[in-house]
Amino acid sequence: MTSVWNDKFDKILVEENVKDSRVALRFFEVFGDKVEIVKNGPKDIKRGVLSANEFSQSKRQVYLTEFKGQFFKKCPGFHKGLACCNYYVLNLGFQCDMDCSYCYLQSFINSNYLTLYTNLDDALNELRDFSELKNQPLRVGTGEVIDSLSMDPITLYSRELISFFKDYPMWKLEFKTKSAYVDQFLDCDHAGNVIVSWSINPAAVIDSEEHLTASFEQRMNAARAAVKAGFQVSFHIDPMIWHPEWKKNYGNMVKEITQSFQPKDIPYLSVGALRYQPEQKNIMRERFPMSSMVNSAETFRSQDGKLRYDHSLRKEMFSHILGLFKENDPTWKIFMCMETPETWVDTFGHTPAKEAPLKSLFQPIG
Amino acid sequence: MTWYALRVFFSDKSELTYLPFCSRQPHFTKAQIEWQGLVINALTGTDQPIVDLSSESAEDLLAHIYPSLSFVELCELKQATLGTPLSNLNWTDFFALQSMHFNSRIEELCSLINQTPLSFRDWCHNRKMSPQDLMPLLGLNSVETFNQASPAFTKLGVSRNEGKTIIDRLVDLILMDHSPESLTQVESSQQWLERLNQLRNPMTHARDSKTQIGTKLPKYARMDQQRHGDHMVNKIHVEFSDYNDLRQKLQRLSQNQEF
Repeated sequence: MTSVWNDKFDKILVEENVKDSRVALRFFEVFGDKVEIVKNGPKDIKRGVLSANEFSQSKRQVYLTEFKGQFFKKCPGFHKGLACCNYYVLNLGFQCDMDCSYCYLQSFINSNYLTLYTNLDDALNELRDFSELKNQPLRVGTGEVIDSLSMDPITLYSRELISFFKDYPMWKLEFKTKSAYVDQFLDCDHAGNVIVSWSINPAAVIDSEEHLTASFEQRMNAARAAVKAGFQVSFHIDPMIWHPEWKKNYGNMVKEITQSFQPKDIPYLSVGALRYQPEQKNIMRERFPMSSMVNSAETFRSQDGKLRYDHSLRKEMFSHILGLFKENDPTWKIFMCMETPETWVDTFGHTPAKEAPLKSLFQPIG
Repeated sequence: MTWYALRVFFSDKSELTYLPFCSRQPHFTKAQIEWQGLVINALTGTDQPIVDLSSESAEDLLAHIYPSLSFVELCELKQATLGTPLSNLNWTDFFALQSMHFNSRIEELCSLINQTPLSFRDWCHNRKMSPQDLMPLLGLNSVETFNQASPAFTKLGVSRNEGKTIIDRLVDLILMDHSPESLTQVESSQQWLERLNQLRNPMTHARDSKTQIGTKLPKYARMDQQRHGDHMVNKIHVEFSDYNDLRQKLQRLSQNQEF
């Protein structure tokens, strides 16, 4: 394993008070002398708005520390004007070691270190505080500001989380990743409530825009392995990115998914189209060429302030994907992520709460 | 700052250098202020007494002399301090005194702004362009091509709102290898904006054109097509004398009798 990771990071720092944590010990094991112990944070830490170079640097410098805030938060999709699906996020770190051109972290990250939190036990204790909701459906995802699995072969957090969720069968744990790392937890006992989900795009989009991620084939193979081990899997076709061959490429991708999986294997699929905050455009342009499908995209301000494709093009893209899945099997459950109710109505003919197979996802909790 | 309470003495002018910066809206003090051998309020050749305030914080002194600088002026001041005792000024504090943020992105932006022509910087100053408005320029490795297009901002009297979009579109199009000539052959700011939008978003422009009604409308009706963010909105305005007239005209329009 060491050889895969050795060139990935330039610097690995561990805060002194967490040097004996399980995660820190694994970092020592994998990276050996490369790991340095620090007191009161990295000396060269930058806070606040990062330059393009500092942002790139933040993907190659790791800092292990405790998180002192609240781990458990409601998904940012819970926002006036957007249709939301009752999703909670558990952040076990901050920043991602992969480098997608469209990633919203580019306008969000405020430290030049990829930070990993070592106190998973505190996060699990926070989850225990929600025990009054034990018998209600709750979805918890770990992949909002850090990929759920891209560093999991080292942290092994997945194993502890799967074990925890075994006692909460009504709750669902969702890993969201663009990696192909699943082997480290496939042998874990689980309550059938763990969804391993992949953000997926056609190979042409992955090759052009999703740098340092697993290839389309690697992700599909990992998903097949997860299903074989009894896990549910899901695909987030998000963000859909327009390019001249989009219809053909997304068509092939849907074909590959529908040939490899049955609707029973996949509790839901989500689709979303390229979107980003206006200020993110600047840093994307500094970090990636204009030939990028994302930088050259024709985007306009939508009602929530984000830049998106023209409404009619989004509708065409969503309808195309939905049509392909429904043509294959009408029981595929698909919802749109972070889209306006108007787009839902234009695409499905009604709002998400009225889409029968998805109704349970869009009911308020508590 | 209570100026009259400070100890004042006169320096030998021959030992002094002058900071090559003067705000577009100078705020004169009653004396020339010397700070560590540098006269920082740039009144070269006047007979005003020189006050040595070297023991004061340079940030406070500059903020007193220039209480309200625009962003481009801050960039120019930063440039002017290079190689002087003021080069170690705490820019984060000084920008904060001017109600602006300073960080590594702003620092890079300042450096680019100082490479644009004076006419463009004057336009930025007059239009109160903020760092965020000018941030797209960071996408350029060099402002050389942008500078060739920049005289149009003053020539066409571009407003701040138009300017924000124009700068963003120009940067995109320059990075897409459009020549500066092809980007500035226009006669008004509105036309400039439309042309850049068409060049930047050709696919959307073509889609929008398809939804336009090709046939001439009757005299009582007029069609408007306007993009509202991510939506193209088509509007038909109908002139009518009374509701009966309106009903008839709408009926005729809906039956395509006059398209």
